[in-house]
Amino acid sequence: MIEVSHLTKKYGKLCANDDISLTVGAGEIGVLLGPNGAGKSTLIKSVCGLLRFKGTVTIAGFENHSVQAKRLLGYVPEFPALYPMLTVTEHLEFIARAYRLENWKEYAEELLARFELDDKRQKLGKELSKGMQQKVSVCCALLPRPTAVILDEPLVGLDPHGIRELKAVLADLRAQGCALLISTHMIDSVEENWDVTYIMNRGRIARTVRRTELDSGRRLEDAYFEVTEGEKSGESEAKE
Amino acid sequence: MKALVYLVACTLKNTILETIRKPARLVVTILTIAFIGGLVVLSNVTNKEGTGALELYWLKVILFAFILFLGGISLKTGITSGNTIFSMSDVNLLFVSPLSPRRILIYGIVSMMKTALLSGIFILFQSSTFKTAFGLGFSAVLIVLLCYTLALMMTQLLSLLLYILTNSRLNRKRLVALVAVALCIPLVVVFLVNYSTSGDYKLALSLAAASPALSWFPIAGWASEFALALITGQYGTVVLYLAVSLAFCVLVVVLINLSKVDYYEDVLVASETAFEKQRALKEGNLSSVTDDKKKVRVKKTGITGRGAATLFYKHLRESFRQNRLGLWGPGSIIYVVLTVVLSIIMRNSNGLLLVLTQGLMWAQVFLIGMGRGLKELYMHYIYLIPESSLSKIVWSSFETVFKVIVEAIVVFTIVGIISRSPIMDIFGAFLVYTLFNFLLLGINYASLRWSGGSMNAGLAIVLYMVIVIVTLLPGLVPAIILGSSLPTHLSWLGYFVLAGWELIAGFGYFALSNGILHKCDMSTMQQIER
Repeated sequence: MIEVSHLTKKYGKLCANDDISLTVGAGEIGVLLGPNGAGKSTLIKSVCGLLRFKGTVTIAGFENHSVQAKRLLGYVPEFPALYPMLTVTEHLEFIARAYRLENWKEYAEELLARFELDDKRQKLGKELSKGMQQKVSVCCALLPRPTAVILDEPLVGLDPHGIRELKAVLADLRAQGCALLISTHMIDSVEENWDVTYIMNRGRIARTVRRTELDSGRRLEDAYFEVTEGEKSGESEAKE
Repeated sequence: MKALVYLVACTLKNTILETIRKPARLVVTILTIAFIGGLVVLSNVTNKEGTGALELYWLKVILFAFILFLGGISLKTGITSGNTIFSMSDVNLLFVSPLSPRRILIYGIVSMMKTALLSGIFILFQSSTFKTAFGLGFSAVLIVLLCYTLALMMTQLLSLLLYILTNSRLNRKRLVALVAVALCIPLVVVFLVNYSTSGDYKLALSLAAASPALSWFPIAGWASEFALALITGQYGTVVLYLAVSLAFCVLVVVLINLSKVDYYEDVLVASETAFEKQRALKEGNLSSVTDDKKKVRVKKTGITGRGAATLFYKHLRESFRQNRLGLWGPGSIIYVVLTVVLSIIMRNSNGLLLVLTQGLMWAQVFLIGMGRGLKELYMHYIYLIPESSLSKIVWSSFETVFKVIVEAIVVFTIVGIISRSPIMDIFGAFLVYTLFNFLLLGINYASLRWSGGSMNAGLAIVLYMVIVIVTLLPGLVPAIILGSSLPTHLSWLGYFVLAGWELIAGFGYFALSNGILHKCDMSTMQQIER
C-alpha cells in the first residue's frame, strides 16, 4: 500500500534520508523508530509529498504527488496546524468540500464525539489548546476515510483519553485494511500494536524488525537499543 | 562580567563564521557591503551638498513621524504582550546564573543596539532620496541611522519599563494610553492654531516643526531634533538633545531596577511569548502566530465551494471573521487614507496619477506576501488536497486579487477626482495597478517553483526585485515611449500597453509555476529538521 523506494533527501550537503526503501502493506501498522535527528520527520514529509526528494513513493500504486494518491492519503503532522479563524466544524467542512466528500457529516460527528470535541464545535482554531488542536488535526486526516494514514508523533500533546482513543482508532483502521505509518521515538506508545518496525539512525534504516520475526520474550525496545547503542559501541571500538 | 563579554564575542565570532560558511548569505552580505560602499564613494564623488526639492524641516517632520510610529508600536507592545530585549536562551541560561541582574540588563541593551543597527540598514540605501529631496550627502544618511538607533534604544527600554509597571494593572495601562494621547495635544494645538491663522498647511507644519511642542516631544522630538542639529552643524543643540536622550535611557534603566528588584518574571513572560510565536511560525501553526487576541464572535458559519475552489471560500470566511469589512482590513484603510492624503498634498504636481501609480506598485511588491494565498503555502492542507496543483494556487490567489481590485477601485477613483485626470488615464492606471498584482503573484509562485523554496531569504529578496524590474522592462519601455510621444489625450495608451504586458507576463509566470506544490519544499520546512 505505502511503498518507498530508494528515497534520498538532502538539505545542501546534509543527507537527511539516505537511500531509504520500505513497505507498509494493507492492514499493517508500520512504525518508524529512531532517536532525535534520525530523519523520521523528513521521511514522513517526503512520503506525504511535502518535500522534494530523489526516489519514488507510491500509495496503492499511485505516485504520491498524483491526485489519486492524495485522495487515499491521510496525514497527521507532528505539530498541529489549524486555521486561526475557522471553527472546529469548519475545519472538517473545509476538508469535506476540498476532497469532494459525500455524506460526510455523520462520520464527522462520530469523530468529534470520539475525541471529545463535540462541545468545541464553534471554537476557533486559535482558541484551542495544543492537545485539542492535535485532536482536530487527527479528525481532519481521518475524515476522507483514507486507506493509507501517516502519523508523525501523533500521541505527543494528547491527554490520556485522547491517547486511548487514538490507539483504538488506529487499531480499527488496521482491522479495516488501512496501511498506517507512524513515526515516533516513544517505543512504549507503539509496543502493543505494530507489524513492522523500521529502526532509523543517521538518515538510514538501520534495521527492519517484523513482529513475527521477533524472538519470544524479546521486546521492540531491545531491538532498538541493539541498533542505536550497538552502532555507537561499534564506532568507539573502531576508533580505539 | 567576563562571562557576558565572552558571550557577546562568541556570538559575534559564530555569526561571522556562519556567514562565511553559507555561500548565499556571504553573497548577500558582500553585495550589501559593496552597494553601501558604492553609495559612499558615489556620494563623495558626485554628491556635493546643495539644495534639494524639499525644505529641511520636512526631514524633521518625516523623522519625527517615523519615530512616533515606532514608538507607538513599542508603547502598544509595552502595555499588551510586552517587549523583550532578551532571547529565550538568555532567559534559560543567564537568568538562572549567579551573574548580577544589572549586568545582564546591560548585556540585553548592548544586544538590542546591535539588532537596532542591523534593522536600520535600509536607511543607508536612501542616499539618493536624501540628495534629491534635501540636497544632503551620505554623512546625513549616517546621522539619520544614528538617530534611528538612539530612538529605537529609547523606545525599547521604555516598552520594557511600561510592561513592568503596567503588567496586569488595567488602570495603569489606561493611564499610559491617556498620557500618550495627552502628549500629542500641544503639537496638534500648535499646528491647528497656525493653520487657522495662515490657512497654509505647509506653513503651519513648518511652524509646528520649529516649535518646542515638537522639539520636546519625548523620544521622537529629541531624536529628530538631535539629527537635524547634527546635519546643520548646531553642536550646542546636538549636545543638549543627546544629553536629554541619554539621561532618559539612564532614568529608565534605573526605574527598571528600582521598580522591581526582580525584573526577571516580567521579561520571562514576554520572552516566552516571543519565542513561542517564532517557534509556531516555523512549525506552520498560524493559530499561535496571530497577534489577534481579541474575542471573535462566531455568527455566520460554514464554507461553500467544492474542490480547489473551497480554498477561496475559506479565505473569504476567514477574512470576514477577522474583521467586519471582510476584504478591507485596517491595512487597506490606512493604505487608502495615506494615498488620499498624499494626493491632496501633491494635487498641484504634474503627473500625480503616474507618480502615485508607480508608488503604489512598489508598495505592492512588499505587501504581496500579506495575502492569504501565499500564507496558505505554510500549511500542509493545500499540498494534500486531491486537485491539480495549478487550480489550487489559482483559487488560493483569488482572495488577494479581489482585495486589490476593491482597493484599487476606491483609490483610483479618489486620486482621479483629486488629480482631475481623464477617465481613460484613470482606468489605465487602475489596470496597470491590478494586473501588476497578478504579475507579482505569478513571479512569487514561479520563483518558489524553480528555487524549490529553499533559497536564502536575503538572496531571494534581491533576486525577486531584479526579476520584477527585468520582467517589467519590455512593457515599461514602449509604454513610456508611447505615453510621452503621443498627444496628451492619447497618453492612456501607454498605461494600456504596460497593463497588457503585465497580463501576458503574469500568465507566463503562472504557466511556469505549474506543479509548484510538487516541486518545492513546504515553506515551513526550510530549516533543517531531521
